[in-house]
Amino acid sequence: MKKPLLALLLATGCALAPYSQESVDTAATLRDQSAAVMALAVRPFADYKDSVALLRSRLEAALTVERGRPDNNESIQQWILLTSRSGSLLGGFLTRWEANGTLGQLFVNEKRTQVMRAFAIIIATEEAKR
Amino acid sequence: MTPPTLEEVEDAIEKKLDGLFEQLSEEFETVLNEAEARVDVWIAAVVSGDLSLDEFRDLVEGEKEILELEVLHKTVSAKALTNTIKNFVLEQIVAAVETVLE
Repeated sequence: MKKPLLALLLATGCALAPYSQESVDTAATLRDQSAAVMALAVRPFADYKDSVALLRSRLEAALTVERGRPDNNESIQQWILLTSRSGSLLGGFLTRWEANGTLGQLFVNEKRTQVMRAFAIIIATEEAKR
Repeated sequence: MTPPTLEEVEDAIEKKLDGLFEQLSEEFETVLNEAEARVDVWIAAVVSGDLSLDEFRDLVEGEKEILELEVLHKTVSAKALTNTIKNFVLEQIVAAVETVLE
């Protein structure tokens, strides 16, 4: 009865993008930059709109690079979740800051913790491709 | 050295997969327990006025999105493991064929 397991395993194609150290480095850099920008959200958005615009453009560039790698669907989906402006992670946080002007300290702290966890998972996902 | 039989290889694979499922189950249970603890803290913060209801909802949505990230991560880990096992099986088959040919 075990034969199907072996046959299935040999027949299954598990295409996976090759590991990219560059992707890990980019994610780590963006994690640190995001943490720094998010900490400013208790202050008026207008004072930091250029920093936010720069961060957004770097996040979009990272997503573009991930989209260009073959067999990379899971990582692309992760970056979309992280950066979506209508979501509830980094992209959504920046949208909320922009809409509200300032955000509360506890919310900023908790959301920053979530976003750091999200980056850690994205990095771990890339490491799993080694 | 005698290469393992197909049955031995299949046993090794089954053992590895059983271990993986057990590990996945434990990891997700930990993630859910930690999320539950965070939600309790946020509920207390809403009651004390330190978080608005809208902020609370956004944090809960964030937890759901992190779970989605975890599922995607586990998918990649499972694919990598499958590829490792597949390569191992193919190596065993090649070794068995070489032994027969010698």
